[in-house]
Amino acid sequence: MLHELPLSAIPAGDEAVRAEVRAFALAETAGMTPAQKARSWMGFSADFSRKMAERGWLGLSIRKEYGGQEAGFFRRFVIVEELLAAGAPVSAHWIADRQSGPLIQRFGSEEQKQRYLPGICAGQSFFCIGMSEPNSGSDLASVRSRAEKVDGGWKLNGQKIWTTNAPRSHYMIALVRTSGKAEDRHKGLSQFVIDLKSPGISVREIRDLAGDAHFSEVFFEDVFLPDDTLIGDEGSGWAQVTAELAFERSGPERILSSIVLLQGWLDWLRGQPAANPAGVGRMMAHLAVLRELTVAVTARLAAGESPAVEAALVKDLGTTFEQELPSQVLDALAADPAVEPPADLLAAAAYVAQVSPSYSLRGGTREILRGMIARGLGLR
Amino acid sequence: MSNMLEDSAKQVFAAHCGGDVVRAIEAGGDASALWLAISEAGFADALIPEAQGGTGLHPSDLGVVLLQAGAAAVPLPLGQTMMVRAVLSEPDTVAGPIAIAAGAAQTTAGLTLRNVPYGRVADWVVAQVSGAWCLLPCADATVTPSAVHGSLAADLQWSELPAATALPDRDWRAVGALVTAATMAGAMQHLLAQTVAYAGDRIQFGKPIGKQQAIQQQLSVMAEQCYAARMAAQLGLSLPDSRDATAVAKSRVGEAAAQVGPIAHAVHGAIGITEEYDLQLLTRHLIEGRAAYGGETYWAAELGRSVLATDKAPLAFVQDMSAGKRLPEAL
Ligand SMILES: Cc1cc2nc3c(=O)[nH]c(=O)nc-3n(C[C@H](O)[C@H](O)[C@H](O)COP(=O)(O)OP(=O)(O)OC[C@H]3O[C@@H](n4cnc5c(N)ncnc54)[C@H](O)[C@@H]3O)c2cc1C
Repeated sequence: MLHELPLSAIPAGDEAVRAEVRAFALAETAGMTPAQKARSWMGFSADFSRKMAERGWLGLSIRKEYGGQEAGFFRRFVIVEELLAAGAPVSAHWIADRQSGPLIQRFGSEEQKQRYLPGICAGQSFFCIGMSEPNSGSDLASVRSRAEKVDGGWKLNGQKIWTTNAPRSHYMIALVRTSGKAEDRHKGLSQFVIDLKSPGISVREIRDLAGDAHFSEVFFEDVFLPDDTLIGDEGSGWAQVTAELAFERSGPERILSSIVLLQGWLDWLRGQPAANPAGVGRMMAHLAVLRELTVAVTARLAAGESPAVEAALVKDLGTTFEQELPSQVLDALAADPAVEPPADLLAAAAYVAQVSPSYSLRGGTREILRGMIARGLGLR
Repeated sequence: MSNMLEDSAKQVFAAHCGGDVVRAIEAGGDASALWLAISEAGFADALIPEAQGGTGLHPSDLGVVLLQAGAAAVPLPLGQTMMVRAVLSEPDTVAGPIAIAAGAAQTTAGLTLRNVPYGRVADWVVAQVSGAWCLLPCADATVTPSAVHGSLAADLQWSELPAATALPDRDWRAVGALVTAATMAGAMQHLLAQTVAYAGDRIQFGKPIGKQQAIQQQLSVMAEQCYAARMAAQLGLSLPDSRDATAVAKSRVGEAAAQVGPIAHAVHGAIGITEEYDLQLLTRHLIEGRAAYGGETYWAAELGRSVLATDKAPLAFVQDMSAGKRLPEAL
């Protein structure tokens, strides 16, 4: 069901941290070029993540007994907004903080929570997501990596691909088949926390079209997974993944991937005689409305609901905006061949334009999200 | 979440503003019975401060009423009337619907206001005459329909300047833009429900057309635009004195309408083009609303100039705007 998204507000207590986060993020990114900042949540710095943890800005939804802040969704919202607006290199802790930690807290055993959560909250344990495989992209339930029951644990064989940060992560949460056959689809899938130092794992980086190597292939050959690395019961992996994707799709990051470019463009236009007010205003109107929509989705999460379809809707609108922005800015920067915009702004615009197709692939493609919305409308 | 105001708006419009009523008024019929029902429900006086005998609500609270008015294609300037009545010192002396003129007044021979939205059904009109905003009675005006078939816009002409009541100085055109954005968002919400229902009913190739992925993807886009439009309108109403927020609302709603209307028609096929089918009551309002009180590009440029005049980061600009918003109260 697609529910209404009423206008909502960020609680004052969570707003209160904004100024401090903004000052920190601006100071930390002062020496970066626009193109570096435009890497947004692909920029990796373990040092930055450690500093975040020292300030109590990681593990916001994790309980105090596991090293978290118990501060809730809106605190994270405010912090993430400021980090992304500044172009801070958040990638190292990003996945652990956003989804692996909350997933373990919700579905993991007591022992697992004690083992993994403190490291996540301290900005010392980095995670990656092992969902996609060469033959399982949108059709995630068709994954073929398979763990067989053996004495004291499981033996895993198979392959993952497009795994962001695998070479730089300590753990992967992987979705694999543990019983039944591919035809059984959602049944017989389970998730494990895999220690990436385990014997039998090899990782190969994949370079992207912009020259970066954020994602990779991961191969498993008779990798032994102890029993206590299975999350929840055998066969409950699909339900976990569904819950996890709702966290993944609902944050402010789904509208802010290219915000650094908007900032650079405005900065440049402010010094130009022939500004482009209608082009600027259109982007700003979109941004203002998208932000209200993400606040409204967050309010639903904070109220304990699971607004999966609404999050998919906002993500699709958000990534459309994120993709239109570089397209418009590139055209605007080239509006007059006699006027040469700054080289670093051009480089940032070109970089964002190159990678922007990925915005509507990662975390579920545009077509898949629209299918979810159609289901929410009662059409499927 | 139930809301008394929303429920009562639904009831009033369902009872008094069916498609037949809208068609009759658009064809030149008398709108006084509908206006009576709306005023008796208290909507027209909802923004008047309690001390002056009104309900003392905020435009943010009235969003639900304007959305429902848009959904019912109410052929009267309800939002305009509510907003203007809120500032009148003696609202009791001003009975009937109030329009807001979009363009400049011509004062060469008497007074002429061109293409006033809802000019055909208004008893009063707000206009800027020689630089000053005022309220004018339509009683002595010659009313000439000025726009396309079914439109309620009219040219209003007085041979002599009528007696005018001065209004507080604010940009009343922006007020017109804001309430138009709200009714457009309501119209879109209803179009979505109507179109989804139709896609479930209409059988071609042995199954409902809504089972076709191509139709599903179009309806998903339509839903996205409707959600964006509704949020834009809500944001605007929550900041009625912010020209920036009005600019966000009118430009974003207009952009959404440019997609929503065509998708609604595409999914309906030929039946949606007919006079008899209710779709057109709403899609015509969207086309007219987009152009009324400044289109998307006008309001986007207004917003852009405002942003460029500051040194704020883009996200900080929208955060600061949003921080002042007044959430609707649960009534
Ligand atoms: C930058 C980046 C980082 C990523 N990081 C990770 C990660 O860390 N971990 C991870 O597991 N994965 C990751 N992914 C993978 C991502 O989840 C997949 O790319 C995505 O699920 C789509 O799968 P695919 O690329 O195989 O495309 P496909 O599924 O092959 O899709 C190709 C096209 O077909 C369309 N299509 C497919 N099925 C349908 C259908 N039923 N109806 C209509 N259209 C359909 C798709 O929408 C798309 O347009 C990442 C991807 C990117 C780009």
